[in-house]
Amino acid sequence: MYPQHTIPTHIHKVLIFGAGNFASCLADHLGDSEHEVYLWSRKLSFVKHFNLHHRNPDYLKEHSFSHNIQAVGPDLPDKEFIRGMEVLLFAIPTQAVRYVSRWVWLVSTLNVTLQRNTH
Amino acid sequence: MLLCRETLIKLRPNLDDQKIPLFIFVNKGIEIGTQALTLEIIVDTCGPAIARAATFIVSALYMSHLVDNFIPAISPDHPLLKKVSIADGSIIFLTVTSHIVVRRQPTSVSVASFSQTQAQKTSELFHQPWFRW
Repeated sequence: MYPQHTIPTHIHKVLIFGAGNFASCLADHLGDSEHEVYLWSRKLSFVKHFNLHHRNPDYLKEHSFSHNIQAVGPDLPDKEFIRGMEVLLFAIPTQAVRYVSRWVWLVSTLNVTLQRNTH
Repeated sequence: MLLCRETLIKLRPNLDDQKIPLFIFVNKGIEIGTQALTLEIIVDTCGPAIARAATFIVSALYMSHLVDNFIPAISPDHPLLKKVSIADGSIIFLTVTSHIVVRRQPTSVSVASFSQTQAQKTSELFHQPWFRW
């Protein structure tokens, strides 16, 4: 049984840039707290899938997301839409994350290979 | 891939300077080429006023803590481990944290900002009994 959430005193309009793992997680948390959440993705297939099924086809696949979340995209929302938002949340990469991940993977792989060869 | 700097450049003309929304960033990493941190990218693209009011979310669950204490404590077939790749620590970090939050299991994160007022707003926006700020 999930614990009960507290209802906020003010319902915020939140636009989240990105539809990855952590972006989806935070969107769900805010939607679950009754906030009005918009999840922006540059993939039209994601937008259609999410609004139809309330599931993320790529992350947290088994989770049914809050109905207070609406996916938007693939174009960036226009000026009027942006100006109606009270919160803008950015969950998009700054390039190096992916680069570092690949580097860590390479070092780990090399380390395992070296260990095997020395035993 | 549309990245942080590109998105902010496209977004900036759409912002109303008289009514700046609460900015929250969960981005990590350093920009390749410029070596800029997220805060510096915000200054470049949106100006110092928005950068000073921006808030940043950092998970309090550190990678080493997870690997040393959390991962071994749950069985190998636990659903939290479905996407885990030991070779890529960042996957462990995000996968575990995300599953914890959507299942309303207790966890905590930290918020950082130059503005105490904006940090407090971010904290109040997300705070729930199982998700402490």
